[in-house]
Amino acid sequence: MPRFNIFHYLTKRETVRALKRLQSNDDFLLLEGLELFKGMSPGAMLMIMERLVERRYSRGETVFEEGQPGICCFILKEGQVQIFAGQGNGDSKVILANLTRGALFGEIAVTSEHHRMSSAESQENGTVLLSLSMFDLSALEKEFPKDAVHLYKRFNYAIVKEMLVNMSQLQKLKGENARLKEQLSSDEER
Amino acid sequence: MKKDSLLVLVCVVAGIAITGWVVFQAGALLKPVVAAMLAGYIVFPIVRHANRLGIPKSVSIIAMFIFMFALVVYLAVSLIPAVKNELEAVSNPDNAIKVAKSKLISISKAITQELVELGIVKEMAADQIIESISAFILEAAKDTIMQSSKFAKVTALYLLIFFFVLFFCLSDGDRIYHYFMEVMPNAFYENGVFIFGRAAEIFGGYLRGLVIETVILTFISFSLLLVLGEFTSLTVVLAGAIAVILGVTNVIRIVGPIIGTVIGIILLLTVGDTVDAMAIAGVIGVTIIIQILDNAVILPSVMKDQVDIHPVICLVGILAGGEVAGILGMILAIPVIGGAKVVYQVLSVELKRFGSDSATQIVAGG
Repeated sequence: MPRFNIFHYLTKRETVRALKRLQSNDDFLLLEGLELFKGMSPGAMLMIMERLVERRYSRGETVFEEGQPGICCFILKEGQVQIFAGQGNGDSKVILANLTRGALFGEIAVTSEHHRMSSAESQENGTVLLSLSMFDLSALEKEFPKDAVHLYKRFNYAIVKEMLVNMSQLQKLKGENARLKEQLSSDEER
Repeated sequence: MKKDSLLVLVCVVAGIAITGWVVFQAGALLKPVVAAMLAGYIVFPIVRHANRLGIPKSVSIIAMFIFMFALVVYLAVSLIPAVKNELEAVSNPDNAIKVAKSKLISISKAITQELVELGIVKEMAADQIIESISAFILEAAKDTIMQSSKFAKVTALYLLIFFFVLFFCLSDGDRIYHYFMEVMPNAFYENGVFIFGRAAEIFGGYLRGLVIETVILTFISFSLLLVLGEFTSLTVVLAGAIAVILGVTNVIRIVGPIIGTVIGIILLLTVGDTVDAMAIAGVIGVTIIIQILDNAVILPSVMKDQVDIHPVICLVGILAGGEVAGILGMILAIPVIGGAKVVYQVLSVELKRFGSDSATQIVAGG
């Protein structure tokens, strides 16, 4: 017969109570529905909920810029965010994605401690983002290591999926570029 | 990015300057508030950990307060009868100074007489030496007694403010953090999160190390003083009081051990009717021993995230802190300088480590 652990019992009871209180919380319902957080333990979910910070952006306001250090990842709660690369200094703006509710972005820089490789801008007034910083992820690693590993695996999966989409787009653009070069050279010959 | 960092640095410096001005103006009332906020910052992880174990936050906070209140009541009930005479002396500082002066002169005479008999000092110079030593120590004793007298009178109010603010820091700690994060402007948000997070990691480790160091030193001092008590007139209560003083004043780098020793000696001189030279020598010896232990063993092992500050800056900071906020200012000077240094370090160095060559290769390689 397993030994009764009072702390385990108290922890579980407190977690269940806290989760019940969160059932009506909009942020919790959003996170629960995301693929990223499926399979996370109740304790880890509670910890993430405690650490989430809500940020509000107006239309045209920058969330982060290309080249900045990546400190936080964001989950879109309300509104719309556009991800793009290259702007100013004569570079043309390349739109990479238009994100809506439930989208996760900014995770590459946060997990690799790298500069931002693209920029993000709010497209609507009242855009609401939920942010998690690298320190929150470190704290999750210390307290719930299995859930942290699970979360990083999901991050990796999302990053790889994004890279595959980008590579496929790149191939298409390469093909388009080659075709246009050919057309240009044949026009010049004429 | 450079422009953003400069803007953040300017905001941080301006924030510190404004805070410093407010502290200077508000003066006495802010001391217990700041002390409570620091205590709350140090103790909050215990409350959070208890919460994770399933103990509701309110229960752990109330339990902690009951414990602290019980400790204060116990100390008051056990110490007041023992130090009744000393409390009367502190409440009448002029009388205390007279008593200290006569005892200092008698002990200086006894020491100088010994030195003359040993042939180390000439008899002619003995009176001059007595006068010089007495005058030097008396000045220090006078300042300390005056400070203690003022402190005793406002202790009740300080304690009330301290516990009131501490209660709200512990119960609303997370909410306070969230509030500051949510009101931070979007343009500074990520840099602000990084500065706060990194500074909290280093500064928090330093503060907690400081508390552990103080507790260990107090315990060691108490043990050594108990042994000393077997050979001198040092009582257990007095040994405990001196041990706490030595442990707490050690927080003030460089000058703290000297202050602690002087206060300990003054306590010894004002308690009892006879001057116990062996006890005084013993207290000085205990201070030397704990300083050696602290620097050689305790500090390197406990203070993993030591904030390395040049001794000259330490001394200037401590003196400035003493001018601004008395003893509390001297205690807080090093953590404040350390905190400012950490913020500067984070802005100028740590933010730049993002995007190192190895990280770029990993990302580019896919």
